[in-house]
Amino acid sequence: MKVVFVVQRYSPDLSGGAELHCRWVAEHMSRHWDVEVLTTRAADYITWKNAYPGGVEIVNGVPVRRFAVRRPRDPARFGRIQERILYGEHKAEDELRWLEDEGPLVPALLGHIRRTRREVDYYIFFSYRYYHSYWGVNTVPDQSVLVPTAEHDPVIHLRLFKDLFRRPRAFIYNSVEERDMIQRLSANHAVPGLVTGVGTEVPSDCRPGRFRRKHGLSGPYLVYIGRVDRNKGCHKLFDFFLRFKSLTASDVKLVLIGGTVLPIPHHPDIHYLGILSEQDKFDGLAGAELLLMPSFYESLSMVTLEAWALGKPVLANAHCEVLAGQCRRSNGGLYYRNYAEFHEALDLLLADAPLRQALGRNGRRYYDAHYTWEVIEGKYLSVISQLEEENRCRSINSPRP
Amino acid sequence: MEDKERSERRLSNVYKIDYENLNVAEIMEQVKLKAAKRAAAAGGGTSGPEDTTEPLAAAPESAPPVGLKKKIKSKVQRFLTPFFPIQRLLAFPVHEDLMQTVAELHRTNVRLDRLQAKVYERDLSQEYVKLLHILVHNLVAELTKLRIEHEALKMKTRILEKDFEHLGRREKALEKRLLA
Repeated sequence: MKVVFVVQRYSPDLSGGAELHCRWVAEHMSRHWDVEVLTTRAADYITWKNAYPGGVEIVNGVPVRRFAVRRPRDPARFGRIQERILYGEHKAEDELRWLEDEGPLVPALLGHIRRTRREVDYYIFFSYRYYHSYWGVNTVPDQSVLVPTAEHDPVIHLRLFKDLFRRPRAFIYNSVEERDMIQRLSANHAVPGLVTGVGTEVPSDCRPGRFRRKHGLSGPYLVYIGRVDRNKGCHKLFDFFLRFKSLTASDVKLVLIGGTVLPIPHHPDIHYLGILSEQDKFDGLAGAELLLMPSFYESLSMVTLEAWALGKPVLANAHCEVLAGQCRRSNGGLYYRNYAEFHEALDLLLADAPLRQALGRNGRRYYDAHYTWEVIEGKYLSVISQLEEENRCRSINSPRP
Repeated sequence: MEDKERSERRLSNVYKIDYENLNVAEIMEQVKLKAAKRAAAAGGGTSGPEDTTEPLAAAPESAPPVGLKKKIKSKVQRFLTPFFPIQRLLAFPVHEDLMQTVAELHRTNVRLDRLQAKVYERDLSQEYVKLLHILVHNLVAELTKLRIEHEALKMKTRILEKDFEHLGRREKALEKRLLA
């Protein structure tokens, strides 16, 4: 069976997001199917400028075909258009124009899909909001499976997506909350969908001591892993953490791992370590008291799953329905809506080691039950086998010429 | 170590947790309740959901001079008025001023925290207004479409009525001819 994954960017250099999600799934599913990846030559998701060479490249055993982006995105112009689309009256054509401006504008990729659709059994599209998914699903609706990776983003309310969510043959959702949101918005209950998510790869040997020595850390610390960005709620995290420190005698530190686009407050207990290797990241996570997840919008949060895989509890932002829902379902973490709740929850977690251990254990159990690669691969296989079954029924029921 | 044990004892008094069958929803209910109580105690129960800033640990205030001591102090101060700043610096405890400044800074800090919380609330309401605007816009668009559809249907009904009348008249005319 030939299955083609279509995603906006694809490279081993990209960490996090739908791109990493797609790469991991493609690599794992290549054991079961004949897999190919169609993507763009872009490396940067703000401008989509062509950076990688075109043509076919083998990445970790998976053939990847890259297509040139015809026109890079102009962030200022796109910002203006998006403002008008979100807050002003507009027509359906304006939404399509917005989609083109958002990009990545790759008509060559769509042309390739049209030409080769007979050789392919199914296309799995990642990220509903980009050009390739919208036009890709509309080009091959009967062969398409959509992995929306949707968050509570204002653009999801645009009319064009309401239609898009009714087009594919099946959905692979990241969480129950994501499925509920999409079904609420588009009433696509007739389209089959399975809540799946993504697995993660945890090194077998995590050494917190090595991490502490390398980065000169002592005492208990909380860890945040991901881009230090306002969109990820980091400004609130700094505010809450500094208030917590000023109101309590706690000696806890905050360790930040990841790239940054936000100024980090100068404080002796805030340690910014930048982008680290995977091994270093997991060493840091294993040594932390807990993982902080201040993000307001997440469709899954892979780093939360990584924390649970290591048996670490999580303190998450309850404004993000997915994170709060995951914490409740797993019983693997607490959550907060405002500073008072953050203070109480963090105070409780830091003071109560048995609670941290119990939450970590539950998180680990939840991860084992839902997010190991065997489970994830099984779910992808079951979605495709269900579609195959439907195809067989259709061919039996359809009248013969 | 003792501190840790003390804080664990304090928590066991406040939170009821079944470590074997952990229920995060139940723990969160307790956390929310405790946070709300703390917020009410800090803000007199009038603060909004985000305005839950606890005041900083109460800044120590110096005891005001009372009775005879106060009178003598004020008379000496009046007598030595021109030299009072120097006298005060040399003879009286300077820490009172410092304490007052600290208390003032503390109050300012608390006020700033509240203002920040209010700014956050205002931002939130702005977001709500934007969402309401989108909702209203969509409602207007839908209503406009419905109105246009309604007009078209009305027009069709009128045409059908006229056709019906015309057919009725024709039927009568034909009947007349046949009977004649």
